[in-house]
Amino acid sequence: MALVLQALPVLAVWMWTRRMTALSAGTRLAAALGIGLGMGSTLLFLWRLGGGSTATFAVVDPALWVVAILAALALASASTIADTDQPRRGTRHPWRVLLLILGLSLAGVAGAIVWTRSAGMPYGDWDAWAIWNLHARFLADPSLLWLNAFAPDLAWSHPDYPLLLPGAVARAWVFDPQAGATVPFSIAAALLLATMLVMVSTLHEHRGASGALLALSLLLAPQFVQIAASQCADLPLGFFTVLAVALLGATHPSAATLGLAGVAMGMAAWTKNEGLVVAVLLPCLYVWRVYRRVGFSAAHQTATDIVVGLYPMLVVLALFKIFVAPENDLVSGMLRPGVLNYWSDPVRVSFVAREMLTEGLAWGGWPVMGPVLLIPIVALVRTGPTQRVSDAATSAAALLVAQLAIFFVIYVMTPHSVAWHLQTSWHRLIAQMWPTAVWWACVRRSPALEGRGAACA
Amino acid sequence: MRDAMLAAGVALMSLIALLGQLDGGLQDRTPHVVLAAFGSAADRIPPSASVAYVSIAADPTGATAERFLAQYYLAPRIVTENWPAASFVLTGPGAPPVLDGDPRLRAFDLIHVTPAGARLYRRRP
Repeated sequence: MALVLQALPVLAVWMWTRRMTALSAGTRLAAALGIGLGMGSTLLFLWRLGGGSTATFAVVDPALWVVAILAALALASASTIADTDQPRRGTRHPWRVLLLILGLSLAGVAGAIVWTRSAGMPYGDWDAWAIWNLHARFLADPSLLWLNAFAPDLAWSHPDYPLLLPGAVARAWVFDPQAGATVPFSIAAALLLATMLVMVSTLHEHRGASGALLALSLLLAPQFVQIAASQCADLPLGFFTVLAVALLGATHPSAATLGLAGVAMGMAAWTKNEGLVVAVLLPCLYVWRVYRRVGFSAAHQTATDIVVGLYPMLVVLALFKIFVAPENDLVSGMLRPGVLNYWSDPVRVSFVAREMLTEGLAWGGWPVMGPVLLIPIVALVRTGPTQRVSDAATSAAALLVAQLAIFFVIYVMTPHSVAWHLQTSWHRLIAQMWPTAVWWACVRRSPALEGRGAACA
Repeated sequence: MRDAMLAAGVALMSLIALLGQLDGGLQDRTPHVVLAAFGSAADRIPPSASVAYVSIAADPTGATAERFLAQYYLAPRIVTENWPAASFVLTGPGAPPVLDGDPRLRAFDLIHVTPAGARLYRRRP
């Protein structure tokens, strides 16, 4: 019964997206998994912020999701959320069976790694129980003392971090208090599956069976799988980022698809502070591309469609930041007088650049070099005569470059020990960008992608 | 064909890379052990209480991990380093009875010892 209750928001999102026929079933399922978890988390946060108890939440939450599902059923024929374009289907490939076997083998081994990692570390990595699941414990507590999570005594637990992941875990604990560590493990596994699903299904649409297999180069980096199993928020953020990019990259994305991409961007911001970069920059970059290629009218409409999905999540984040969260240690540290002098320290700046580069190239869990080096190879292989870089692929590349630049600035200006900060976080930041980097590499020379307004370009 | 060969090559490399990680990977049962050691101590502490924590771990990292795990275990109670504000004190597992004589615990009474040796003290009224 608890499992059914936990799946209700996923089912609701699945039902509400079923008219988006331009999206494949795999993309829809991935979106439903991630956004459903995120919406359930959001509802719990808003309920608790409004003074509601978990006892009443356990009644109201299922009722609301059942209403949402029934509403989706009642509006089954509504044209306002319908896409008219059919998805591009991959052509049957002679190597299809071999590719399928390889893909399933990869997914199976990745699943086994997640399982063994979780068996060895049932409570996840240090950050999982000291930050994310700790916050979930407070949110799920039946008393009204959940705001204790943001007390000054707990500053070490980064109480300013957004609550998507803790809320999703806490929601499950509200329905099944005895579930314990199986919940964060299950959510981590579900989001890894969702990440693979969205990449496989969207790349299958653009490049056929071999594109789907290329998507599994996500698993070229065993370190990514380990970070996914760590129960931290880096995988969820990577998932929402690549989901947003992939939705923007849909063939002739409709208003509903762009709105869903906006929701995914908002969910990224509700997952981690770094997600705010995605929520702000990605829509700007994409709209700019549409403006440059098609013109103001299409860009304006695109921006409106994205904001419809993005805005509510930014409001939730603003409520959290204004009424609940203390100030961020990095932001307050970087606003101290004299921090700008760090830029005049060539040793510090070059140390950050060197460490980011060397660790970045070695990242991935390979014994010699890192799989990051394969990204340009995959990206440069010609796949057909009519290739065109899409708005989404270009926006994704620009986003990745901007993220790298922002992370570099933060590391140089960090109030913490630079070496410690890099050592404890850089590998996880790469993991956040990894799905989008792989998606970009696989899709940038695809012949299929066009963006909003392509028909009138 | 070139696309399929590229995909197959990448997939094979991924498979080889992943297979190398199937040897069990990282193992850390510390949270499992420490959380189990606290037993039912939390049942004796009101949800609104502030709790100080005493670790007997030798290394600073282990002591920090224990304190953070105590916070995980005791939520929504707050684990504080501000002893005057604490109405309870919890120790790590395996705490020796001699700890009862610690000067910091003069204002506290021992009220519970878990099977794993975690000791719980309550401030005298």
